[in-house]
Amino acid sequence: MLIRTQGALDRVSEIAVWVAGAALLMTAFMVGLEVIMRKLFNASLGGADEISGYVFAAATAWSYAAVIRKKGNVRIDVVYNLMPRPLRIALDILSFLALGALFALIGWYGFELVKGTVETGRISVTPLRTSLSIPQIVWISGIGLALSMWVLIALRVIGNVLRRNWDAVSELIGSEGIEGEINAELVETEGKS
Amino acid sequence: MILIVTFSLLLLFIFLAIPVAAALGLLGVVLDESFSIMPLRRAIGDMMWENSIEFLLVAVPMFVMLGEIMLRSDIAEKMYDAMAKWLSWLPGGLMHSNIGSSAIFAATSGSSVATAATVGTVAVPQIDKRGYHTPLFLGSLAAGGTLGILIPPSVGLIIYGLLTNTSVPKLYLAGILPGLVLAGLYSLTIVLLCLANKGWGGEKISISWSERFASLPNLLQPLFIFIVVIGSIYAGWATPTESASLGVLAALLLSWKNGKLTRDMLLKSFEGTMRTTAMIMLIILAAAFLNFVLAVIGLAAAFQSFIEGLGLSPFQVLLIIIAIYLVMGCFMESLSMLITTTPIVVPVIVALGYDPIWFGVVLMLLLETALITPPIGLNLYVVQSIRQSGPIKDVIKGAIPFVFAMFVMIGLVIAFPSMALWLPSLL
Amino acid sequence: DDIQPHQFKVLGTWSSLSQFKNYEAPFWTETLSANTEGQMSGEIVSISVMGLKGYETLNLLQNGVFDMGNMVVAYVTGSTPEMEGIDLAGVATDMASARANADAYRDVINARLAEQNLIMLAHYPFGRQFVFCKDEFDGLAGLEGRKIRTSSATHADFLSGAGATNVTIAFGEVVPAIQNGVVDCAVTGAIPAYDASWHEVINYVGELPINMGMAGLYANLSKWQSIDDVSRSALAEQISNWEDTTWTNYVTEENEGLACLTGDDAGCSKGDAVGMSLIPMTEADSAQAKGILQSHVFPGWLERCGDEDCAGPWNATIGAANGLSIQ
Ligand code: NA
Ligand code: NA
Repeated sequence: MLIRTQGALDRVSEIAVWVAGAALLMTAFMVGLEVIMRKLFNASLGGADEISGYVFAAATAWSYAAVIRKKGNVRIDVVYNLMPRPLRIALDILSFLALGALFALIGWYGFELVKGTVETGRISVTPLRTSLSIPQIVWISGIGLALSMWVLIALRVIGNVLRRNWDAVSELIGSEGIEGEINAELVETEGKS
Repeated sequence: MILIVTFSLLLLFIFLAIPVAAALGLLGVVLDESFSIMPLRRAIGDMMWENSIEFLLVAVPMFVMLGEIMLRSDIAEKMYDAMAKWLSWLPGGLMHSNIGSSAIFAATSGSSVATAATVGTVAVPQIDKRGYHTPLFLGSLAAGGTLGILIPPSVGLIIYGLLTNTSVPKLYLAGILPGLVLAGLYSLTIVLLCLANKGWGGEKISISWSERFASLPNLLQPLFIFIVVIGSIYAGWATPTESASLGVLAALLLSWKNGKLTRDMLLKSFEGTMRTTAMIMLIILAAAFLNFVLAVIGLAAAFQSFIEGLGLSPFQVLLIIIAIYLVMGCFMESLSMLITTTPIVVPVIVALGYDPIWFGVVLMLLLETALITPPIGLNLYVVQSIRQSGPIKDVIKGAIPFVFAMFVMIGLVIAFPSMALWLPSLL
Repeated sequence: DDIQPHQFKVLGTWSSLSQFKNYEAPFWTETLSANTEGQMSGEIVSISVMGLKGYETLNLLQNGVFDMGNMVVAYVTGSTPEMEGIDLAGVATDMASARANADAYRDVINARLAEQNLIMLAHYPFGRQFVFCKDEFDGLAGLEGRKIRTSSATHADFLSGAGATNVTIAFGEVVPAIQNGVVDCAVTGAIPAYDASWHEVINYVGELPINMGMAGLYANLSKWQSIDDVSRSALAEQISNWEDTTWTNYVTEENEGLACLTGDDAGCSKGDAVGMSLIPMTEADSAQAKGILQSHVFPGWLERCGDEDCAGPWNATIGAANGLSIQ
């Protein structure tokens, strides 16, 4: 069940990353258009920089889930690598909790901000006068995807800890450096037991 | 007191291998709980949002994407190949190609992280093939990558220019000469170490002069991107921030010309771009919050009054500021360090009679050092993440000699300010 | 009764600007304490040092992160477009009428801010906003077809009314952008222009100000009301005195800024005067500005106000005093 959910969420976050990258590329085209219009036609799209900023925020937020899943967050493993395996797994769990706490903070206070924006109908104070609720909702939803990914992995970690399947725990939240290539099948077995 | 708590907690978190972003962010929350009467964490929502939409930072993913596209269009590989043909006769072989390619890539990209990531991806497979001393090889990639913010274009100089109202085109000119000299110093470091340690330099590569000249056209495509990114600024088409986006378009055009522009290639570039961007941004956002907390609880003000209270000569103050940056650089992420310290430090420096353009270059060198000093050094992490196996200790160890090269460079720029100021004076 | 001890956490504007250095910071760190026998004081931190942008100011006050905050009005109108009414482009052309307008309109703003648990305690000038161009221009009409760097919505409305193209780039990018021809003109105050050495690339400044660049001192309303009555009225009196001196002194300082920009060595104590040419304000400019007010500035503002009734209170206050009316 969890495995199937994981598959679906992985797919969502993979597509999110593609869309995010494509959106950033689109803003590069928009800036290019702005530059050409300004030079050749003495006109301006008006706010290409501001729109790029919104796209940037949303693109980044929607990519966090993939980073959590792929264990892409930087950890300094100098001391970690010297420790015995049980201690390393304990640190992995601690680290994963810390990462969750960070996203929970961003999610909670970010949600408060967006709620205020929607309630007061806040607009940007620039010439573009963007209704901020639109980019902010897209942004906070990306944080929401990251939190969902965290919760799902957390559930799988709990399941594997209860089954004492330490290899699977390492595969999910261990440090990339030392574990190297653990056979993915090890993790897949958890769903069948 | 606050300072001691801050550093010891940060070190503790880091050594427990807690993800760097989480360590910085949670440290901010702990300091808020312990030292502030105001609930500072309630600023997180606004801070995350405002920093996430910062147009100046949009240049970062643009430069990363530029690198990703160059990687997947044979541009980066050919550039590396040409540099290898020209430089690998030196003791240390391909490590000089690492430095040379970094310098050339730095001329197209304004991000140190992107430079390390791009050149690193091409170079890392060579370590085992040719039997190089792994730490030094990795160190040369991390250090070479730092050239990204010194040789124009540069996200660091853009941000510095905006914060201090100094001209970015002038800053760009100021960075060129020190950038090239620093690349030379890196190469010198490699030569000296490889002469002193037999076996570090890998197997010898011999190349004929005709092969060398035949490889020169490989550099035309990076040159084209350089002309688009830098030329668009001096020709009055684009602002320095906008020119990063133009660089991406130029790279895209070249990849189409090289017949490499496919849907699959684009998706892979997007994946690489977003993965690096999300990793960096999470650290920058967490660091921004930590810096905010430190400023509100009075650390910044304490610093300024401390410096002013010392009653030292301008040169002594300069040295102390540099020393503080070097120590701080070990523990802080460089972009957020730039953003938060510039408003405090530069007015002090200018009041002492130093040129803000010149100090911009000194500051870039200090940030470059911060990028490769442990425990917090983004370029170390980037090189490690390309490598994907083996301990990060290797990268850290290999970067240390280059930190000393950086010290020499900082000394040179202080002794000979005209290295930085001569080119801008022609503008 | 005696004034009780109170310590405030205050958000200040940009640390490099005169407003922060000469007005905001000294009040909280020196004046207030000196005039209340050391009972009250504030700890003020600049947004530059905290890495903030300024747009967050009112949110941070609402959330209780700061007790009070200084910020340019144009930066904090996101949730309350009514606030823009204090300083619409093209309405006031001199400081005296700007202050009278702000005094008249303050209650309108505070009625809306109270709904968000906020209060505006003082207003003060951040400097008249002038148009600076590389090439000579023939008054307001001469801006037609020029690319102008603008940062606020009401500026953009006004300048589009004059037929200019609005370009948004960062303040620090202005000098190279003008030098290289990315933009032709830019809008800012006299002192920031002088401090940022705009004269290196800019030769002309128009005497007609676009607007006054108003700033405000705001507080969290519950926090403000929670201060005991004696202390609060003492603080209110101090803030009101500060408002007076800030207006008086800044007007002098700003005139000096303009003198420094336009080569008047005798009138410039800030440093060496530089040689920009002043393009005088003419009758034709004023007439055109009044037209743009009706055709672009008012409609643009009303659009941002959405369903809120912005026109009524404005007509009754600033409008009545200036013989203007939004239809
Ligand atoms: Na560069
Ligand atoms: Na460092």
